[in-house]
Amino acid sequence: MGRLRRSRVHKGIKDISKKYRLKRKTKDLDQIQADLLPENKPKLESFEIDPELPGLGQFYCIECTKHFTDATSKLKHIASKVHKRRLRQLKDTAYTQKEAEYAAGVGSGSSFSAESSSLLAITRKNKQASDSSKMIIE
Amino acid sequence: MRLEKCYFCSSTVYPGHGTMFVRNDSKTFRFCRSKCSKNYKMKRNPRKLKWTKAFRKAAGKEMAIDSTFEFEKRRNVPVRYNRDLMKTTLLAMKRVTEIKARRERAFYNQRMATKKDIEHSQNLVEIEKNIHVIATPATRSKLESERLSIISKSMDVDH
Repeated sequence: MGRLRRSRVHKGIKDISKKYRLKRKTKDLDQIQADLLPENKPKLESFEIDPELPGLGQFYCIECTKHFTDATSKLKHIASKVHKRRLRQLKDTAYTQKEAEYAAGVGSGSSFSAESSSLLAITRKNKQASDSSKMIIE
Repeated sequence: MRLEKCYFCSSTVYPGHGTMFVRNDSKTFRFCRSKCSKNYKMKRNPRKLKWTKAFRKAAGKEMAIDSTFEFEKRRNVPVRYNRDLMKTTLLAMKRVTEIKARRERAFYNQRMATKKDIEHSQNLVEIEKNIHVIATPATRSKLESERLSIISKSMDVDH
């Protein structure tokens, strides 16, 4: 049973091991947010004709970093749950190494403005929410 | 020697430990262990995982804004060794950690102060929602009448 054993251990779970691989790594959220900036967006909206890509590279969704074969499939994708979920994710400011360091207690306040540290903003927002709930309880 | 912070969980990465991922736009990501690196590859958001420092600070579980965080910083200019400076630095480090620990304890106590009340009100809501599980018909009607009397009392107080 040696042959079967190899595929039935944890390593053999294909969808998970594929998930971990960097071979098919797609763009991170911060890269997509950079793509969506007005100076970068026009470049991605008009792709040159590339026979290697699906739909000759003419139907590209910037938010989901995905090429489609034709206009109808792209429209269908834009109406889908996956695309809407991605839009929701992109609304938040992207997580950065700076934020990780801030969370670890390296520097604070002066070294981070409110815009650069989304964590600070989120903390303040959560605090306000909890304070208001406390008021209601009292 | 530089002690880096893990991109995902914000723990310290000592030299010779963890992995570094260099993205194709030459940005580097340091991970303290395979757990963090795998979670990054799965595109999980550290702010939404309860075991990361980013979550704990964002959710108000830990002290996030304090002056004691100002001392530890990424310094890119090397300092020439000076015995006196080293001595005072070591003393200051000890003192700062002391103060930080005290403030963290105070923060925790303050956070836990309202816990009992919140839990109590949550329990009351849960009992009211699931009363059919615990009560027989007789007790249920009794509880119902009690509840009504409480409501009418509070109404009287209002008027």
